[in-house]
Amino acid sequence: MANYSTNDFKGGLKIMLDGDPHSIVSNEFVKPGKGQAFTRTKVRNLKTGRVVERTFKSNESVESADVMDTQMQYLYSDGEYWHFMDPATFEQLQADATAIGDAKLWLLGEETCEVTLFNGEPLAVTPPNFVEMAITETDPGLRGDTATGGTKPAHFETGAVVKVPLFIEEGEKIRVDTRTGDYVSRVK
Amino acid sequence: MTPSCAGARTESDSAHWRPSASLQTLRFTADVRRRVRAYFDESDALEVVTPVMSRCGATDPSIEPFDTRVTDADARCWLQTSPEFAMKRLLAAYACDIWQLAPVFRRAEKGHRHNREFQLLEWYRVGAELDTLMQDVSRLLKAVVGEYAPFDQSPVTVRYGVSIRALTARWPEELTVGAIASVFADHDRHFPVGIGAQELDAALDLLFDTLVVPDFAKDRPTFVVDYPPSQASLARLTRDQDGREVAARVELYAGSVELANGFHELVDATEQRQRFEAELAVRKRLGQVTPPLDEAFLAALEAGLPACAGIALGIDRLAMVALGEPELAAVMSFDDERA
Repeated sequence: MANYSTNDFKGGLKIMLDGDPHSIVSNEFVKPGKGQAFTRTKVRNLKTGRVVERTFKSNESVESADVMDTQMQYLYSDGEYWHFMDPATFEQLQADATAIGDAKLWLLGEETCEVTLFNGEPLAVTPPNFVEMAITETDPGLRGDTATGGTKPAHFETGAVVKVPLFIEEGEKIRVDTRTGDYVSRVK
Repeated sequence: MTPSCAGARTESDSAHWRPSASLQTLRFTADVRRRVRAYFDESDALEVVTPVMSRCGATDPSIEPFDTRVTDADARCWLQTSPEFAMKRLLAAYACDIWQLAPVFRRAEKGHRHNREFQLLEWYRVGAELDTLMQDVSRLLKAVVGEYAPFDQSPVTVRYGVSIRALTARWPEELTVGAIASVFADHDRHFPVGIGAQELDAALDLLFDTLVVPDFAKDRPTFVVDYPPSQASLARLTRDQDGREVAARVELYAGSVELANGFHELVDATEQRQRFEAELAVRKRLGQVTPPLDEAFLAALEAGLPACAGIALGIDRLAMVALGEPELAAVMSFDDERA
């Protein structure tokens, strides 16, 4: 496994800390004129998502994390695992509930997702920024109410709940921003 | 600039010939230099120029000098990390107040507030002690950037040992690396595993920067005095107001930005040689380059350096703070990334 020196640190670099893969969020060179140099960083634990402060002595060496982002197609879930396929090699991988996280709320099938692999195993799944899904259950639409700006909850097959405008009907297909979970538009 | 900043830069590569400072800022820094010159003219210090490149280099293990050798046949020279040794040779020879604004070079110092090449304003006052030097610094700040916060207010003084004691209930020299690590834990801050048990000064540096400096006044500059003897560098040792042995060293901060480091200068050639040799031993142990001892400087000390105090102030950082810029690049025509 390769090692990085603190001189190599930059945002997005993947390193191993306490046995977990981390991504550097920010780093700052700290050094009094007459003293020891340090690198103060904020790092995100890629397993838990938690961001913590870590300080390194300058030139300290840190193991790189074998973390890779790949584009994979979502196939199906068997309830325990979510199955993905590499569209180029047709190789299949399964992500567990921890790795899939909230991404499962936005996956119906065939979506292309970013699957983060750690030592070849799925560590995290990022769904497409926008997905289109049909509403399975919501209160009856208030026809013509496009002005008041009121919202109501709409439920989806995946378990997702999205606040939609009052005029939206059950069964309609809408576009959702998966990064925020917000309604974007109606899909005609 | 850190590599992450360079990566985040949105402008296209074709715009990289552009300066990192605006014309307005360059006018400001030119005015700063004009005022500095006027200040030293009025206070009877002689402007000097000393070689940027020398046969000898700094031995301080925390500062990495650049050397100039390209092939093995070239005579090895070192770029100055500060003009201190040459200026002290002038002091030993002519015993008058001197100043200069000099480019200095320090390897591996890159960050928002660091640039490998920067400008040091360094000056020496014959016969001065630490408190007269601090008054001199206060007058210079007023004269050069007195219209700009926090330099529109007089500096406050913080005692290094006292502030460490307030935090840890111990004087700096009574602490151990382990004790400092547990202070970090108490404050829910991370302490690097890489600091060995014998590296007390490194641990103190980090403790001071992490838990003392962030509380410095924002509306006025701060002088830090009474450093422990282990951090004397080129300062003589003295007693603080409580009779404890301390280094006659002062640092100037603006908020949490370190601006200057000054000494009531060590004039004892024997002690200076011992400190150099101890530093070289550390460099050797850590596998760092070992520049030759500056024998001409030591000879000047033996011939007699007049009692004096001197200080080096990072003029780029002074401009950065006065203008409220978060990064050094904003006050340099071309920072490292564009040099």
